[in-house]
Amino acid sequence: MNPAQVPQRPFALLVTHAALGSELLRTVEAILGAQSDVQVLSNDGLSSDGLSRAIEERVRGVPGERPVVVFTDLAAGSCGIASRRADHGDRLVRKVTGVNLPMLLEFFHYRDTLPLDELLPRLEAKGKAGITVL
Amino acid sequence: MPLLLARIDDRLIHGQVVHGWGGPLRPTWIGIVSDPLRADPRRADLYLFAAPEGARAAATLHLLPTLWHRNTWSWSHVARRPRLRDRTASAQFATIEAERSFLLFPGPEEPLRLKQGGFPLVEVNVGGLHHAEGKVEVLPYIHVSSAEREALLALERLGVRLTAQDLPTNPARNLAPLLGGAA
Repeated sequence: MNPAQVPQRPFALLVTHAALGSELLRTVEAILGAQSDVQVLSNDGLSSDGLSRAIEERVRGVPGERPVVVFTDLAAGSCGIASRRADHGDRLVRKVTGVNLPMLLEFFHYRDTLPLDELLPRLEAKGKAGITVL
Repeated sequence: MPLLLARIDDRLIHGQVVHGWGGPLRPTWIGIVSDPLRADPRRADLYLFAAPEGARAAATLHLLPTLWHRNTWSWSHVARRPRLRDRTASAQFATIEAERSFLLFPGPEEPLRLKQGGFPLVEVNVGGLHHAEGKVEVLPYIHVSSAEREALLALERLGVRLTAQDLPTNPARNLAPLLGGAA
């Protein structure tokens, strides 16, 4: 779908350790095709303060009034903590920890068709459901 | 039980500490020494969320010197929420000795103040001081301002061994000689 047709399409910001975010996005695009309205931020070389500021700057750079979903990997890691610490004022920013591939596929598949309040619980359920011990 | 890890790391609680060090050393008690955190309860509260996976059942998290976080890592919807606590210095020392303890510092000033105040610091691990304007790279994971360099050297002059090591699986290096050309 053309992003211009979806003014409230949620923007994704992947904040992860090392190259995990860029590799996750690369994998998503290998499965679903090229994606827009998504950015990746690595914690490489950033202090706690620096990472929080970088998240705030990326969110400020998202055009329009689009909501932003910040995906992080370890809830107890620098990315998870910085995402909760970042201050976005009145901007609608939701945070999801424990990012994995099933969760991201669900997000990119449904972000244009489901309202955010329905989409986010689906992401949590899909992310958890993707874990199976055989 | 002696203090297992005293670490300077501007990220404080994060993956390297929780998993990299916390996995093999299995801390039951973690103290963060930071007056700015003490003055910022909203930010301090974020660290209550952090949980070493390997010590989930018993580890506790505290903010020092005067504000302490009590946290059972198994905190859930049925567990009582952790609370901030004030403790006396003697109670802090007793707890650190009694537990498998980590002490975390956001920079060199905090351990220096502890040492100058009589805290028996013997060794400090310097594991993460990230780049910022005005800082000089000592190692890829250690960048220091002139004030931080002076504080580290003051620690060393007080007899504290400074070890540069980001993860326990990487080699430890004696930091003091590396600081000579940093500022």
